[in-house]
Amino acid sequence: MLHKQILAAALGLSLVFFTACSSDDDKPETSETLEVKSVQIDARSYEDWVYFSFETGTEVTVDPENFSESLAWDIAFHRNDVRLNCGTSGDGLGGAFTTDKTALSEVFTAPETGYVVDAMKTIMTKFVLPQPIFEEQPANLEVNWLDIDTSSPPPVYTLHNKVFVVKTASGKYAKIKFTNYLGNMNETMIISMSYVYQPDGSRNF
Amino acid sequence: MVSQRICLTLMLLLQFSMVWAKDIQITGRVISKSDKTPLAYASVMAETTSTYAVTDFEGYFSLSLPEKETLKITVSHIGYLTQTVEITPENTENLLVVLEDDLMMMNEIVITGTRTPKPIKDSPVLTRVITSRDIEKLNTGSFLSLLETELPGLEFTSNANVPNINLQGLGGNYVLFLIDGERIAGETRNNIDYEILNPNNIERIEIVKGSLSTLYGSNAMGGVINIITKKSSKPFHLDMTSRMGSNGEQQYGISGGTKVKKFSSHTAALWKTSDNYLLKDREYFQRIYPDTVITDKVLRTKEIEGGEVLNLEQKIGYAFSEKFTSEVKGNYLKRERFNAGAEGTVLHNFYYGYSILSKNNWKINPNNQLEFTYNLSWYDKVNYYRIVDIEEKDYTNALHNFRLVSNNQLTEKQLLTSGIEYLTESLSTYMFSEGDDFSSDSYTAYIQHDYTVTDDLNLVSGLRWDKHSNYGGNLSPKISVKYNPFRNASLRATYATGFRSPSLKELHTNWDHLGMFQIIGNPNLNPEKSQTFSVTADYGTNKVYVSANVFYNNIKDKLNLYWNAANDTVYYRNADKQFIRGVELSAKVSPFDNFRIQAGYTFTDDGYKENGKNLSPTRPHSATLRMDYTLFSGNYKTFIGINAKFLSKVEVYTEEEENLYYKIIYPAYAMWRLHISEQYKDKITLSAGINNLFDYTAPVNSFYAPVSPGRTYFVNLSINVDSFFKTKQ
Repeated sequence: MLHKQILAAALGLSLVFFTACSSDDDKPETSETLEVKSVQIDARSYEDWVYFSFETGTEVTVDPENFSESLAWDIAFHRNDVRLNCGTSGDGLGGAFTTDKTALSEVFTAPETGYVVDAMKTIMTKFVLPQPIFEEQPANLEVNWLDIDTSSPPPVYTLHNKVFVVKTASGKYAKIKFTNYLGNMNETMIISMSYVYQPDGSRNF
Repeated sequence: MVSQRICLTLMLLLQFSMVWAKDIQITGRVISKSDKTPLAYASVMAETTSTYAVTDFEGYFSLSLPEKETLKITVSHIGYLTQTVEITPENTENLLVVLEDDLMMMNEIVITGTRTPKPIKDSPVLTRVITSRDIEKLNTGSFLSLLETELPGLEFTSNANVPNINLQGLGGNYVLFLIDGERIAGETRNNIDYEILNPNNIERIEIVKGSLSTLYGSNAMGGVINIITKKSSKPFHLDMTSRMGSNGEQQYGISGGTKVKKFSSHTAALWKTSDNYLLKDREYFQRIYPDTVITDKVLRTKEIEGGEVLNLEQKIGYAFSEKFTSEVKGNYLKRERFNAGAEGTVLHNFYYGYSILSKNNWKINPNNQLEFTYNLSWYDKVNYYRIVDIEEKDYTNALHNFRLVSNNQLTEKQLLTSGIEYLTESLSTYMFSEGDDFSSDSYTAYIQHDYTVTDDLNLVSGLRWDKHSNYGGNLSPKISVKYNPFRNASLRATYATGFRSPSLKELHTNWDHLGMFQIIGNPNLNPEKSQTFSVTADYGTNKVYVSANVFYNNIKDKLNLYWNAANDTVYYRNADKQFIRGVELSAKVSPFDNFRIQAGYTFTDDGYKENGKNLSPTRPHSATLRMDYTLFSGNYKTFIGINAKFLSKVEVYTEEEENLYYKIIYPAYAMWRLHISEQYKDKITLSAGINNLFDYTAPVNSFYAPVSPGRTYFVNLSINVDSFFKTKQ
């Protein structure tokens, strides 16, 4: 008799656990058609930028001399520097907004305004000692995803876990998050980026 | 068949009649004075004959001795004072021998100082011992914290998450760690992989400070720490232990084995894991210049890496005859490092250690014996790329060591130890040019003369000659004298030399240091050399022990890195020197039964200065305090242990540019530990403890700050399985 009671209590308890666990898994509703994509981009070069299109989900070849005249790319990478197709970098409708969220799933809509377009930035174009070479180049100053502190060796990398909302060359929206600056073989500046691209032009993800 | 039976019966009868005719039977029991528990495996020796007996699990013994008017038996057990009992014909049965705890441990046998076994109190070289009982009492869970807790003047800091030893001013290159007297392959920033040592499997640790190259060769300049591992001494033993603690600490250990007649086997296994954690600065990091202070604007954090360790050992011993014994030991280590930060998402480091040791002892006759030893030690470092599941080895260090040692008792008072040795080492590392690997070897001959001049005067002198493949010959002499001016007191003086052969890394490195500068080796380096002069006075009874030691250690031709004119390359050169002075005081007292206080203090001036500015991170003053109290009630034994460590403040200067120094202040600190354990009948021990009791954290977790997340907790359960099978004889 007593055994049965214990059994029943145990069953009841496990049921509570079970339901508690499954309710944890409930996520806020998101559009089911949009998927989270992840890419790795080799941004190790000090000289060259790597151009990427959200629409194709691939890197695109762009003439490095006339990149600002092309609308085939949405975002470009050079070490921890980022370019969007707008402002000093291009004729596109790009721009960047920094959210206060750290997970892509927490960003449901792209803000209407507040996008920062590209300006000029001092970037390192050659790493030589004792004095590396710097150049002023068009870049976005809002997408600040990785700090590199070189004040005392070795360099200290600080990855910010923030989600950014960016606009593509054609004015569509994507939410992006940089998940690593190290490649699978621990190469510095092979960037891992997760993103959700909304192809219908709406601000909802 | 029938004839065999008759023969056997006859033999038995014969033996029986012999006992009947001549012998008396002595029976008794050996118990411990402190807890009144029986002592198993105590040895009971008759004084005049070579007859002896060993007590059983319940402490009983019986011994047949030829009848005499009076007889003496000597009863001894490790950890207890040896006692001699007089036996009269009227009193031969049910003797009760009560052994007193050797609280001051002055009868512990040590081997490191002279390479021949001697009780601590007789060793001419001051040797500090941490026994397996100390290790149990301290219950620190790791070899590193064990040493740090017990030894004043020893501090481990974290150099980019690699433990970095400082023993009274000397680092990993100058402190030689040995396991069972043998070298260990592999180093990271001059420190061995301390996880090679399983604290549950340590019988004792012997520490000899100062130079001791005459016996141990290269690297024995600042001290030798020799870890003696456990052996099986019973027909069956099995211990299991598990531990859980803060920051995801988990440990599971098992060890066991057997010793029957000629054969013995011992197995030990340990698996442990711990999580990464963050150290957060409480204050802003400051660099203090002569006329300004530069203060950081953000509080720094530092991630301390956890990891996983698997450590296995197997030892097999066999006595082929009374004269010839052999032992083979194999070790395996696999350590995984949970690399900090973003790197940890793609990369973990694996470290593999292997060793094989074969020891063969031939007792030619009671006065002469020969020992042949072969030691192979191997260490690999592997990058493990987690996402793509690829292991990539980038470091292999292997050493082979052959040694032949002869011990000859020339006269009753003179023991001569001589040996020849061959050591070869190879290294391939990512710090060499692509595809390079290098090796070096050395041939050695050494001799030591141990002369007991009188009962109160002992003189040990030795000389060693090495021939190294890179730099040629090197001589290392030493002399130690011990004199007992009066009962229970002794004076020791030692002059000893040390050397350190340039490592393969220092000879051949060609490495781009993270794109910042090039480190270049130098194949023409000479050995570093040291001379130690040390004097010790001590006084000890079974209740009180005090000792004072003063030493000088003079190092010349010290290797260091020097910048080239362009400031883009550093080279190794033999251009440095260091003069270290130090004092060590220690005291142990047992004011009443089952209570002991132990205190130690060191002062160190490691002479690492430039233009009057202290460049050394060595804390000048350091002290330890340990209080052990054991309470007995029925089948239960309660142990309370308190440990404390104190380190004084140090201001470390760094030369930023020519004659411009800034300093970083490392404040004084204290760490306390409290540990309580409850033992039931030697069978089960449950313990719990608090590390860093008063929750000290470094204000700034910079380079030489102590590594502690603040107060942490642990619980530990140990089960002595064989004690459940104890049977009364």
